[in-house]
Amino acid sequence: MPLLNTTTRNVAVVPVKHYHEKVIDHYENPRNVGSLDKNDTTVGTGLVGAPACGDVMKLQVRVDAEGKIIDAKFKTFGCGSAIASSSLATEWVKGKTMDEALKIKNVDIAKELKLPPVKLHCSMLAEDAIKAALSDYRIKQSSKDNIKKND
Amino acid sequence: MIPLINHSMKTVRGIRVGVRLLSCPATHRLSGVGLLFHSPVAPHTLELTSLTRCTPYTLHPGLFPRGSVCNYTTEMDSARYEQVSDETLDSLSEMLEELIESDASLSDSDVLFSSGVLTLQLGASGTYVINKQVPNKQIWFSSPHSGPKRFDFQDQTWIYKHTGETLHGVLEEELSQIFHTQIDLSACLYARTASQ
Repeated sequence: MPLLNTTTRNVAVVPVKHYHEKVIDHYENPRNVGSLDKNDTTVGTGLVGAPACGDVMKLQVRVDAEGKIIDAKFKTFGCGSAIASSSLATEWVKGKTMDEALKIKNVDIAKELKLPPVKLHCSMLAEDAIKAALSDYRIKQSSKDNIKKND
Repeated sequence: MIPLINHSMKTVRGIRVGVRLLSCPATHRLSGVGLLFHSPVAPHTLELTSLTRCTPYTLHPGLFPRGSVCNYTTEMDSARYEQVSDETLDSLSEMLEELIESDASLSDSDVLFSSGVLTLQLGASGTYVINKQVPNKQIWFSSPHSGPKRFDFQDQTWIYKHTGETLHGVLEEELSQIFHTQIDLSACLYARTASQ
């Protein structure tokens, strides 16, 4: 009997009940989780959020010589919506030019994931992460010498 | 974001001062004033702490290259944050309740305020959520029309640093469109900057 009880408890999905199925899909099968070498000059790293608020999002992009984003990875510590937003963001930036990627707005992410009002902040965090990653890449490109000194 | 070079000299009074540099190489450091370290969570953020002995503290823009972009944040203490944010939301929710009651054309509208979360439901016009975000001493705002914004308490009111807009200003603008009449929230507590 105790065994049966445990099984029943594991099957219950109460914590994810109110998330839209798209959020659950990204949460359960996150795309592009991982890291790129942050010291690589073709990689831009964006780190946004604050540990104190419970959401930290790292998004990295690899940009080729033509300015196209050829790879993207993320790691997110946060709620289901934050994870889904960053997962979706990596999916969307891949194959885009930097300018196209900067046009991705929080509302697009929120709409796609059907985020409720209180979770719009998660999509904003993902937009900020894209911007931060691309800005980091640009800084690296414009000051490669400084970066070398830094390391 | 304010170009640092526009501030010839800035005196910041407060317990803690954060200097955030964007598009500035992480090699630049302030020296000899407090303790400066690279934030582990944001590589291009420089945080300045241990200022208790040197307040009021003066930032010298000469330490940063021309064209640097930076943000100053002065952090208030927790008790003051609690008081100010509670009073802000209390006062705002009272005003919004009056507003909704005065307009009979809006069906399904409601104002709910509990545990630091103010929800304004406006039927087909969507739902606003305005809440306290205690860890970073902000008020978070989510609009069905303009999306999310995070407001910091500066100059006696709540300001969105990216654009300089105020919480009450944004609400007035959006609600005026929804209600098709000029909405004035200036009677709310902390609705305007000290200079206004």
